Amino acid sequence: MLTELISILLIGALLAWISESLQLQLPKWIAIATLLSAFYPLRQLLMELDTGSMQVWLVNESIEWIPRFNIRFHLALDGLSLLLVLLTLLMGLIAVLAAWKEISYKPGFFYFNLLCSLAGVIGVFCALDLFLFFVFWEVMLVPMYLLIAVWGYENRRYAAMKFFLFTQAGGLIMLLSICALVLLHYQNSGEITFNYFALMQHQLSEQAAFWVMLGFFIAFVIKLPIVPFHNWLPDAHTEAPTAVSVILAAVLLKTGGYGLLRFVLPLFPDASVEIAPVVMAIAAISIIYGALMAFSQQDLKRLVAYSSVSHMGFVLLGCYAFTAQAWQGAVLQMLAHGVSTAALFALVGAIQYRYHTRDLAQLGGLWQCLPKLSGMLLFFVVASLGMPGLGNFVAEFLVLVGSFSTYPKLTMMAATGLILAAIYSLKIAHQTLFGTLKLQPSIDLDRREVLMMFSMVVLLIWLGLHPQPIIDLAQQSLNQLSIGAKL
Amino acid sequence: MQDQYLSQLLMAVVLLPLLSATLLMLAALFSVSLKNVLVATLAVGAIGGSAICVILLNLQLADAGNFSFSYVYANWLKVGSFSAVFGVYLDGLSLVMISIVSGVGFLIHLYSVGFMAKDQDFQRFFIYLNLFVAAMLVLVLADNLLMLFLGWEGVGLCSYLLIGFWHQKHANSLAANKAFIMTRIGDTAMAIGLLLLFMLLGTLDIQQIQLQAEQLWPLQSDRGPAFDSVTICALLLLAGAVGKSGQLPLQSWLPDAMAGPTPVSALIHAATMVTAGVYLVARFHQLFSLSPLAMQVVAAIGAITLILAATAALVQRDVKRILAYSTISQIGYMFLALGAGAYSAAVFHLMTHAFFKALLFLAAGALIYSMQHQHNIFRMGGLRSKLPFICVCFFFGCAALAALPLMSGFFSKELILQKLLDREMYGFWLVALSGAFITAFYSFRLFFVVFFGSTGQLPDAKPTTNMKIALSVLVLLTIFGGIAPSGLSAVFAESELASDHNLAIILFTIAVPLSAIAVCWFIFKKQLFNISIKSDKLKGLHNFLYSGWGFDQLYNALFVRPFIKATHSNKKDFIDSFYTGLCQISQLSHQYLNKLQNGQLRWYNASLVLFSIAAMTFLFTGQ
Repeated sequence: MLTELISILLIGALLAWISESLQLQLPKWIAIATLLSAFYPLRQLLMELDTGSMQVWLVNESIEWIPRFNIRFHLALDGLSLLLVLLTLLMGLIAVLAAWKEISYKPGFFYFNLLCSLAGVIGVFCALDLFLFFVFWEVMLVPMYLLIAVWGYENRRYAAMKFFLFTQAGGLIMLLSICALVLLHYQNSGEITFNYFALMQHQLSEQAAFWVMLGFFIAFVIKLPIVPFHNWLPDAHTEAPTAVSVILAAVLLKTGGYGLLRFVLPLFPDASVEIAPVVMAIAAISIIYGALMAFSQQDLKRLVAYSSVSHMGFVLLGCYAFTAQAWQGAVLQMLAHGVSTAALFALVGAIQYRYHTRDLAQLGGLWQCLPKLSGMLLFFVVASLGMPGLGNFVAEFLVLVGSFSTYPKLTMMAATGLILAAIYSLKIAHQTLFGTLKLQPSIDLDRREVLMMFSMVVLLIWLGLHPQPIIDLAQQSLNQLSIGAKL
Repeated sequence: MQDQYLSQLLMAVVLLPLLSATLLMLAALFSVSLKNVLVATLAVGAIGGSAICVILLNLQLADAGNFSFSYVYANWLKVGSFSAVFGVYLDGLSLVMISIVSGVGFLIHLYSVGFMAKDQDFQRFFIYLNLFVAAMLVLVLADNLLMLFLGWEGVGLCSYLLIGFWHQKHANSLAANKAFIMTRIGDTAMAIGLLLLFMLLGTLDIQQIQLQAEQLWPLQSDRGPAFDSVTICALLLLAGAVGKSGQLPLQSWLPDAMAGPTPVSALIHAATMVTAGVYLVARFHQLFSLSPLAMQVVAAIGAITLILAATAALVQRDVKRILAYSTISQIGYMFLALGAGAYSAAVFHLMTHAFFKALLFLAAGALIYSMQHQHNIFRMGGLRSKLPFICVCFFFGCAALAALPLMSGFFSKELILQKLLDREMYGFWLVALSGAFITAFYSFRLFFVVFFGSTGQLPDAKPTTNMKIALSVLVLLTIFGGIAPSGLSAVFAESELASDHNLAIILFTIAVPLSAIAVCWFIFKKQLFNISIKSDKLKGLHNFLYSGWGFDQLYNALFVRPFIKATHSNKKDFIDSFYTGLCQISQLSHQYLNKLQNGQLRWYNASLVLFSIAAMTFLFTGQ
């Protein structure tokens, strides 16, 4: 089922590339069709899903791959993975719609890279063989690099290189950690394996566990990103084309949070508990620093990028509080931030498409000529400042509730992020939508854009008012964490 | 049977305005153009429907003495031990609140149809206004703190949207930002209070919290005021209340909030939202009663704010700013009453204030509407013959605000003063009484300057019929609304002590506003209100009062400017310089190492020799 899913995306990617030579409009239709048909393998699973009596692993596929090192093509799906896979596919659709008119240069190769990257992300969310996981980790990065370097804005080379170096450095450290983990396991048991479950059983010495854990941890927090490893993000977002920003914010950052929940916490429970206070402090700093940086930006995309740093701080905070509420909050934050920030980037892209600028000093008064776009932008701005009734609030509140009992001071620090979020979010609305109109009127959102935005509005309201199905879906996977951490 | 009936009615009360807002919003989004008549019918009809449901509720519960009704509609979220529901809790207090919100809300909607008729954003206005009413109803009906917070932030959002409604003007948007951010500061403290309450008591259900608090932290009268956990919880909640209700130290957003359309000022910034803080403290009265210190803080905040805002209102020139400061001051009275433990008096004053302040704001709106958007009272004058209807409205509004006998405001303010005396809080009683003097003075300063004296600018429009209907109903409520709601004393379990009504004191409290009006008339006749001040000291005092005791300047210097300076000094992100530094180092080392590879044999030779020497030294010394 999962192999099918990934193959569909990869085949679609190839088709999109080939079809370019036939007709330039063809690739985007193929991309849409591919993403829609990617839901097909999941149909049975989704229909028969019953969160009440659910097993931990909904799907488990394992094929022999490189027998010499006992590396297997092992894909599996639990509630957490399923949520993120669905997010990936949905946001993939949004990204294609966002790219619809914007990409005219080599569209076939663009969609090829986009779909490959998505396939890599889905692989990351499903792989349970550490070697395979690393392969998918790279599969999602390389196309991403090309997407920024080829289709980006003015300073794209620099941004793409920075993105690549940061994530690659993280990837390298992770690879070392994977090797170390496998070797230590081999020394102990005499069996070479990259299998997640086998490695989870393995007890490392305290010191070894700490260093190996650190390797994974750094790779994932670079991806999240967390201060002080966040510097690639503003540049990458600013220079990336809209669709790529959407994917980057909605999905790619989540691989970091997923990695923490799937690998770092279960594989190294004791070491994780030990560094938790430090990590919580880093997370709180990240929330505040990101928000302060967001406020000082003049470039709209940079502003939203820094706000991501702030919001993802809540994910890290949630991961290391070691309570059920905080973990649920972290998962919900990944989903809600995925949707709301993707929407913000899509809207900034829509503004850039119309006015060729993202400079806050040049924008202003857009509500007077683009009421629909402005209304939508206002909605997502309000979502990102944590308005109750929308997904982001539920997520952040759960994280805070879960963290407060063990880390009251740090949680209070993080909660000031809510004030700062209001300040930078309202700055967006104030400087783009309100005041006197400084630019020529332009056409408002067309039907495609309204549909795309409206679907995300509905998603966020759903997450905000009825998050229970999602909570239930992720519950089984998160229960495993508390068992691992002996809570 | 009755439960189901009540629960359905309550659901309709909340959902009708929400539904109307959603429909209007979807129509705007999908480019379905609606005529103004249709928009107005839908929006006003929805609130009307809510108001009718509330009347039915009142009828149903009229005989029930001490009732409380709670109903859970759905689960919101449940994670481990944490859970929150969509549930309502209806008792005397929330019944009074929904009656005010839907009743006054309906009248203001009706009024707005006339007031906003020529505005091109008619539909957007009613979307926001409907949404506001829905959120406010959620706030007062919520049975748990998380849902209360949903309504709490919802009304804050609508307030933001409506203050900045005329968004073309930069200043309006700034005022909206200021309102949202300042209240957000209080809200965040309140959110931390939620976290703390949940951690200590394991629930967010409002009634459960108070029951458990009473068991966990029983009031020990011998201990006196102490800084214990219940005090911290109460103060954190109070921070939210202070922000929303424009009390010290988060009061300075409210005068600027007058940038919004006047019906908005009437509904949100006078009658309903700004009193949410009073509601919150009244709702948590059991919790607050457990902490003498918190009660003292509430009373002190109320007392200081009421004097601060009243003195600021003395010197304002903009009719809406006078009313805004007056609102802050009147809410100060409510906080003072809350702090004194006179909860039902506070809520009673909340109700009468909602009537007369809505009347005053709507009348001010009609005045501004008739006077080509003139706000300055000194440009007006002698309008009693030109705008007799508005003059009558203003008279009753000002009379109730000044607490003249037989007006609704008289009964509630009198009750507060009485309760302060009963509780032997003489200092606060004096403050409240001098506040009453200033209140009567500034309200009749407004009345005299606008409607008496020499004629200023002439009106060019007359208020429309729906505006007049709404105003007339509010005049009636202002005059006859001084009947304390019966359900309140049951909610607050206040003993109806037969306090000795000292006739001399009552006469004295009646005499205070009357003498203020007399002084005011005297000064007005001497034409001393609009003279330019010569003396520097007086000018300084005037500016100090005019700026609302200089809080804006203080906050700008203390917080806003340092914040902007600090963030902008790090615009480039100093952490990035580490990475660019790394990049430069590797480039430099590349350059220098590159120079070694220059193809010259003597360089290679020399380096070979140097390396051999170094290696041998290392080898020999190493042993």
